[in-house]
Amino acid sequence: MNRNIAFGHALRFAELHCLSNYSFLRGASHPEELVETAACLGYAALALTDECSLAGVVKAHLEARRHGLKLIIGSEFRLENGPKLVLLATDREGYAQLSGLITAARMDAPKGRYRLDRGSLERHPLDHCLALWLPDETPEPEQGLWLKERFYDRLWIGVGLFLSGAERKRLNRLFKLGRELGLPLVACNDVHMHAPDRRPLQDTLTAIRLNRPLSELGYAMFPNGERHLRPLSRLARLYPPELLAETVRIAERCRFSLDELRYEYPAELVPEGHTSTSWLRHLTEEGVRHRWPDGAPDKVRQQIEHELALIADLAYEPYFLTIHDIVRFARERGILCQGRGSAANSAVCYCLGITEVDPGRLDLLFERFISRERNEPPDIDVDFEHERREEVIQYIYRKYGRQRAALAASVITYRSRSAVRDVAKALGFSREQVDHLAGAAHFLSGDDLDAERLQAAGFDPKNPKLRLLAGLVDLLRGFPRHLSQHTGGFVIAADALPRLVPVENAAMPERTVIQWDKDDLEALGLLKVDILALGMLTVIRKTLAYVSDRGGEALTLDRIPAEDPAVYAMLQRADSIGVFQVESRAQMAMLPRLKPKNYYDLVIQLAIVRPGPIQGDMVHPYLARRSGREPVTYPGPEVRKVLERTLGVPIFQEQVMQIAMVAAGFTAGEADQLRRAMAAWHRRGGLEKFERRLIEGMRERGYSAEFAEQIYRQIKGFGEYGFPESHSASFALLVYVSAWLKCHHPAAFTCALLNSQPMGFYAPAQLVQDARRHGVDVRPADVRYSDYDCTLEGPLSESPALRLGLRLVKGLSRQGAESVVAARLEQPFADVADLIARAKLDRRDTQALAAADALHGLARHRHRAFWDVSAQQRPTPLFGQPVFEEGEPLLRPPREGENIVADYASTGLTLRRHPLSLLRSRLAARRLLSAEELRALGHGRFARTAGLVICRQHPMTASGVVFLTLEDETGQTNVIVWPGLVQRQRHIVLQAGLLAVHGEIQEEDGVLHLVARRLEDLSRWLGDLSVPCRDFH
Amino acid sequence: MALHAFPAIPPTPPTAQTSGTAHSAPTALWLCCYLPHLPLEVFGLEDHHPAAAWVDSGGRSLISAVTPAARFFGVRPGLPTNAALASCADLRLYRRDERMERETLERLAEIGLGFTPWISLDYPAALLLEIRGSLTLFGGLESLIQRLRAELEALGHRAVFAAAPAPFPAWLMASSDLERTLEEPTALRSGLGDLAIARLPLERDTVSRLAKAGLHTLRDLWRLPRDGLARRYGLAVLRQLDRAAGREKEILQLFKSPPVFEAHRELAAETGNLAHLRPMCAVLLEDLVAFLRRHDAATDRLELDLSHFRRPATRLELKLRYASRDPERISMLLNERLERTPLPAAVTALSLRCDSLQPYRAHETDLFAADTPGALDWETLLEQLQQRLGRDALRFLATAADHRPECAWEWNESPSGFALGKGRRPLWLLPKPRPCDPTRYRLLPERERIESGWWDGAPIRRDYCVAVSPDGVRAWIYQELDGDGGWYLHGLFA
Repeated sequence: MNRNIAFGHALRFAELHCLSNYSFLRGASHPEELVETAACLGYAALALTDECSLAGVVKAHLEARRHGLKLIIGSEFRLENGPKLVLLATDREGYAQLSGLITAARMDAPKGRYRLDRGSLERHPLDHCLALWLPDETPEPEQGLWLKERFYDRLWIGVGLFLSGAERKRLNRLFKLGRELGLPLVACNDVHMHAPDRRPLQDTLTAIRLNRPLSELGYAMFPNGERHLRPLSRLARLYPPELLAETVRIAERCRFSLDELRYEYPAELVPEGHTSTSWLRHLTEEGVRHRWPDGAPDKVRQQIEHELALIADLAYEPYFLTIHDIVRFARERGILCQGRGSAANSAVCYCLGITEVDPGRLDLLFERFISRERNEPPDIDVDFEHERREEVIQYIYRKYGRQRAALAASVITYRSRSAVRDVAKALGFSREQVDHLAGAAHFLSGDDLDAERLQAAGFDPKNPKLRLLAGLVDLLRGFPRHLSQHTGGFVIAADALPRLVPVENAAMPERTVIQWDKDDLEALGLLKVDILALGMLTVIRKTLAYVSDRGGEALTLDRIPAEDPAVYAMLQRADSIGVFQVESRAQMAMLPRLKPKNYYDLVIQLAIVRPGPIQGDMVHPYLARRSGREPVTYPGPEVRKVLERTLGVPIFQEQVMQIAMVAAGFTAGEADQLRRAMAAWHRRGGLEKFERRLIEGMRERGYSAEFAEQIYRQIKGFGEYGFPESHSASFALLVYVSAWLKCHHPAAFTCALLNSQPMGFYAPAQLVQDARRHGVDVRPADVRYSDYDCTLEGPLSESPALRLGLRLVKGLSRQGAESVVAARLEQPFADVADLIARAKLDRRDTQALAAADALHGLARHRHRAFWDVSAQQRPTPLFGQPVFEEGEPLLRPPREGENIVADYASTGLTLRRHPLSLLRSRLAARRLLSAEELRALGHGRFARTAGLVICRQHPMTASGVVFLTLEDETGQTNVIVWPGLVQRQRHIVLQAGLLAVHGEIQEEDGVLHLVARRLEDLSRWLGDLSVPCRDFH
Repeated sequence: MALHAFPAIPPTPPTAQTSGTAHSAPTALWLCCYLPHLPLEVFGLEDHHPAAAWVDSGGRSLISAVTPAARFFGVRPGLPTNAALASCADLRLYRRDERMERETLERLAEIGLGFTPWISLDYPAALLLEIRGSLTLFGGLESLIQRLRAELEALGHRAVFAAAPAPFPAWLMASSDLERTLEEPTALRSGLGDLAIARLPLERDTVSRLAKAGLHTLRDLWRLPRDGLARRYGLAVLRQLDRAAGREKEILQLFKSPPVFEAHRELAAETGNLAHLRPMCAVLLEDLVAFLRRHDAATDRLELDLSHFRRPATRLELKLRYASRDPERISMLLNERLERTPLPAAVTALSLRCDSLQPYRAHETDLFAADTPGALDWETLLEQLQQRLGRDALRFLATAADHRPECAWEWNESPSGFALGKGRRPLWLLPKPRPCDPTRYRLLPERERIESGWWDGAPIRRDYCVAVSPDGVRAWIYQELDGDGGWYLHGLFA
């Protein structure tokens, strides 16, 4: 024994065949866990060889760097009807070959799978890769011969010994085979997990993969847990020494590291005779002349010079040029777009037209530009009109080719619910039980099962199977399940992208994704361009067009006057339905309290209603200081500089980072690590190590413990939802523009909102109601007048009326709507039969039009319209539309209530009375007040009201609180339901369409909430009135 | 004398006159007894428990019936089960069992036979009884309903009763929860005017299209021109309207009790001698076989009661491996059993009963047996062995795919295939591993590690190896990897 251990210490060994959980449903350990364990066990190197994938290598690479372990990049393949093998990259070229092979195999199969046969392997150059052949139970020498032809002296026979009971025989056989074929043998252990205690999880993954319960897996699962990273001493006992020594020789031949990857930018954007530096300067100067025809102010000029120097230093020009090119394309096509993010708000970006945030208008904003010492890639997100983003994406594919541009991946991981579902199935729970358990997923976390809730759900918390389930779910949570596409992160390479990272098919046809997500890209310093979709840009462009069409003079963005007091007055009243961002309930509640007076107030408004400032308790102090109820003070002079613009209260993520630097002594690099940790701690934790450092650092420099704690809480709150000032500044521009349009052109603005659905916080019903409250004449959808889109009509001299478009008619095809409009242009419709015949509508379309009451001008009422369209017959080629003489049917016109119900069902809104006005006398008999009556009562009063539930929110920051918005004929009421009540009356909270609430009024700064004490479901009063409700999570 | 007992089935089907005929003969009166809660009643569920039955609909589980308590929590038919659970975490779910519902209805129909011979189960969840002729006997409709209701309630069933001159309108009212009697055909149109169109067996799409034109009740339809209605919504609508008005003749399939064979034979003299009993049995069996032939059936189960003087009868239950009506085969098996059954006293009479009738399949005839005597012999031998030794005593050995050696085999009721794992296994496995001293053995170097079974409460972690004992026997022993690390003997190689 002792001798073995001593031998083990002297032993050098590299693991060359190891799968992480990026070999989905095979590997049972994270790449980081594997690397850490390999380092602890004293391995000389570790090869991560996920099956036809490099998705986990960056995570492993970062961990390996931390532990000083040598990481080898490789991949495992099973050829169709051929051998199984592992390929390892020896150098940069080998890596490119490997990545290219994975790309080819992945692109040849549907999403999530790969296809590789001997032919495609033969076609692919692999001369910089080493290969381990993994023979089957009965090795086929023919496979070895074929591989040898391909790899010559770069081929080994991989031998894995797992205490199967018949290994001597196998080893002898392989030795013999090796001698016959002239191939050396090497030890490799088919590692599936970092530690033996992952065996149950690995078995479970097998069960999930094969979609069979564990009890029926039989020999499909491994007989034991030997496929983990085993200590060197054990390997020394198992393998002949030469097989172990060979691993190190192979490892030494693999000299590639991911650090060698350098992003090479596309070069074609620089014209002949220019360098990228000179071309960027040229474009910037052009922009300066455009932005400041009389010359830029000195301060701006200085900043431009500073930024250009920094960009040149870090060689980031091509990145700026790339984005400039995309934005230029959008401008040419008339697609509105706007950049945001730290680098976007630079003076250079303003000159390049990437953003509209004028650096002269705000000073302190741009401190967090690109930092020299952090070597952090600049971050620019560009928002485009949501309906036209695809044009931009197709432009990128066209310009750079599919070989050079692809979307970043987004790794979809197991959440509690999905983990419970899959594990419960594997453990053999029945389908109903799986449903039950998935519903109870959040009680099943960790060691402390919520016994009471489990019992209530019909499970015995002492049941050992449930314990197993809870333990496995804890492990499985956070495991990657599959790769999906990132919302818009593009990677564009100078030459073939597959040389950099494997590319695979996405679920959407014609889309490809790379195997790395945005964290991976950032970690390697690779640049991505975020091409995002933003509905409000569509709305703004459409509104401008509608207004221009009716007015004498075209309205453009630059003609919108800055800082219009009427706009701010409107926002201060929380009159913001439809306005970008500040239309949400929480934002609306803040508007009358913060009372924004200028652009910068909007920047603050956007950032303050976020988890960070809320959890850091920054909201009330800021409001108190702003209203003069509290004096403005600063904890110290250094901090004053940082916090002056927000009255001494930290609100933005940038400010908190700066405080960490000036008040806690963080270096820029450390502050950046903190920022990354902030973004990831919800998923991975790891913020704790900064806590002590931060709080102690601040205490040492004389700041109060209280202030320090507050900053730390705020850092935690920022988390994934961190909203930096740089984003806020760009978004605030859109807030102002959309508010201005709503204030001065409500009909056109509502029209544009309706024509850009689905988007925003409110359904068409609320948008239309809001427009009518602002005096807009809204007219119903009508085949005699409506277009597909909503339109503005009426004499140009008067303010326009809004005609609802046929697009609101549920179930009507776009083609059907357009042929109605085309047929009408030829000649007005005589009756329903004429309409059907000339517009050649099918049954679905005519039914949809009748349901929406869009035929009322031709058929008098809805019932008659249905009777008429039901008579529709397919026209015969010979006789055309058959004509029947019929008696007048005895059909009752719909009652008002029926019409309202039908309006909602078909178009989601009604222009008749509000349904609650029909119920008002019944409601009053129950002493249920209207929203208006409620507002007349004061703070602290008990009251009861009822309304349609038009919005339900369960914000994650509010730990179980549900916010409901009720609507009646007089307005809206905000209701807060505390978690206790949610638990007691859960089904009512989640399902009621018409809800009565008994509760207490809370009023602050003119914002009214009803805190619910008791709920009652009155939905049956509505009959089958289905009110569209937007559920937000 | 053998005696075949049947329930009395009237020689002719009932002539349910409809209003279409202008005869003066009394019109039929159909009573519909509708069971709205049947899907839950078959599980014996109570109202105050939130429970629901669900059905499989294209791979999704959807709620199909709910108790009032579940309804209170917002659980409704049509909801996916997990949505139902989200509304009510305590909900008990039962998979809807239509076979059980059918069987329950058949049992209830037997009760109905006490009121009238003319019963039909053609309508869903309902019994339809033609009761015109029974009214006098039961003292009028009211009291007949009362008695039937009481009998059903005693069995835990709640029914809705309605009566009409034709089955369909009766069912229509009862299934609409309308307890009403319309005796005259002329009353049907006005009496049913308020019923919802949705109750008619029409396509869902047709009903919703009618509703869109404001047409909800039968009266709405009766007010419209028939041609216009037919052109827009199809002839099916007119047909259903006519059915509802009793204008369409309906022929229902009548319910019959399943046939039962019962025969009894008194012995001339008491005897305990099997030689005397055998011929008697043979006569009974002949009658049985004739009965089976008449019903084109075979049987797989019968009961023979041997009566004794002042003692409870001895009952022999005979189960066959496959259904048959071969007198020789049954007789041979019956004799096997008789020989093995101790008789407590002399036998006074024999009764043979058989209520398990299976469809007769020709391949069981002796026609083919001659071609494949081997196959049949094998089956017959097994059957004989099972009769003689008891069903539990004869089982088949099979392999099971499990890494744990003690779980890698199982008993089966019938023979099954063989599949083996990779490892080397001894022929004889000890019933339970026995502690052993490894130093007494010479251990072969190869180890086999087995770690498995953590999910079902019998996990193992062991290192197995082949060991040779001093007397040269090759044994399979293992060391526990958990706990004390003790050594155990688990099997012996041949």
